[in-house]
Amino acid sequence: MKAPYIIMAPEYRHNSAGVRALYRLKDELLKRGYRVSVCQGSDGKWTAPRGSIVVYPEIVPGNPLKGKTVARWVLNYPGLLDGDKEYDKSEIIFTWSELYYDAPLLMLPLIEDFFRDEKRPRSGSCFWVGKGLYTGLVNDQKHPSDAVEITYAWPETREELAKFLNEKEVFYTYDNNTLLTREAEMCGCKVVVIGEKLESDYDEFIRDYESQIERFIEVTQKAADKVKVSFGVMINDWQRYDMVLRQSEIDPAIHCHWLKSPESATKGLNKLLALWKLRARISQS
Amino acid sequence: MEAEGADIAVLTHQDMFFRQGWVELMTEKISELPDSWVVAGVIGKDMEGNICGKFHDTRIPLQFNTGHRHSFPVAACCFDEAVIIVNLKKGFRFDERLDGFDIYGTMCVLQAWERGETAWIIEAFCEHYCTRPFTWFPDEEFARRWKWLWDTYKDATKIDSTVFGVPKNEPDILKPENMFPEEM
Repeated sequence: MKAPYIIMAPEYRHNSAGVRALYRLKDELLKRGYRVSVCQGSDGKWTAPRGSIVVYPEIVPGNPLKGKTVARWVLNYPGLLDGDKEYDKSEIIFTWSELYYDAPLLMLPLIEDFFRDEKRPRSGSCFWVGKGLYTGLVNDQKHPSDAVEITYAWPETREELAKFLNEKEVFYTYDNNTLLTREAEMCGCKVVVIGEKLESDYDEFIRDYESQIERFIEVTQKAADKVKVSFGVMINDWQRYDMVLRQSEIDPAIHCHWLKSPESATKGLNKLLALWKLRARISQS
Repeated sequence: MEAEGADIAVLTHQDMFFRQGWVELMTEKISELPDSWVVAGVIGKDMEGNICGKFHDTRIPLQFNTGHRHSFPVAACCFDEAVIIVNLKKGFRFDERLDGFDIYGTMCVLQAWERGETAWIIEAFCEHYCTRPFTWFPDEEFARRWKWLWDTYKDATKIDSTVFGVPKNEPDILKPENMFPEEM
């Protein structure tokens, strides 16, 4: 049975690659036949149904939906924008970039085909602050005073953004960790990163995205299906055990621990409960 | 948490028989329980003392099926000991002060309540090829343990066992002083 996904994501907006990534993940999962819902927050009361897989971006602290199977998608440096810096050991972690976290990659194509150099006449420059707001670099203005600012609200659409980038010669960015850099390059802009420049691995890893998402699905589905059951029995009559319980139509891979004639039921059952720590298929105490 | 092994332990009698698909059915029904569940059974009594569950005791031609009365899962006050399902993530252990081999299906529910957690009867039919004769009757040892249970779990909402077929309008008969007046 396919475990459904619940993705916690802000309301869709085109000007955040992280948000677009979460909704692209939803689309990719739907395309593969999985049930997916997007949850934009938690009222603290509603909890994720058992058997579901909850996907949180790194900006969500903790496990507000109390998911039993949690996948954490680290789309930026942990704790930089919001959320925890460390994650629960039980969480399955994927990262957009190895720069953010030492975990398997999950990178999805987010740049549309219309981000290309149209070879049109260009003039002037533009700049982007974005997450550079948190670094302080923006206080020391490095862009020309007549540069046009790209903001979260403008241009209004992705198509208009691509058209605008095709009109500008230089793109300045105070945010060294934004897909806008790659989009500007693809539109033919000269890119100037204010501060430390991060090498983009977008093109390289995006080629492999199908296998990344398959791996994400495989790992998360396996984790959701991991409820392990063992049997335990106290035996005082081997014949009855052989004739009845051992004839049960239970998957032989399921462990059955047995215990012969304990001093009391409670002591025997507690020994059996302790035996579950062992991996042996059939254990005797 | 006993994370290295199983999540769920099925403590069962040697003469229980489980049909194909039982484990899958059981885990599905367990998944419907609230996080507070510690122990579960397939046959037991509900909080009103009614027998509850879907079960076949092969000494009886008819099968137990209280589906007409109960919407599963049902909060339990006791289980038949034939099958007790334990949530291993809770680190539950039976109170070893209870000796003998009876009424631990009652005590584990009382222990769950004492922990502030819950016990449930789930809908997971299975068969008990029991050979204990119906002529069995609680003896003095049983009476001593039953009294111990009442003395130990004084704050329990209800103490009951599937070995008693108690009329609904006579719940006081479950009190040790009424059940075993000579020994008290």
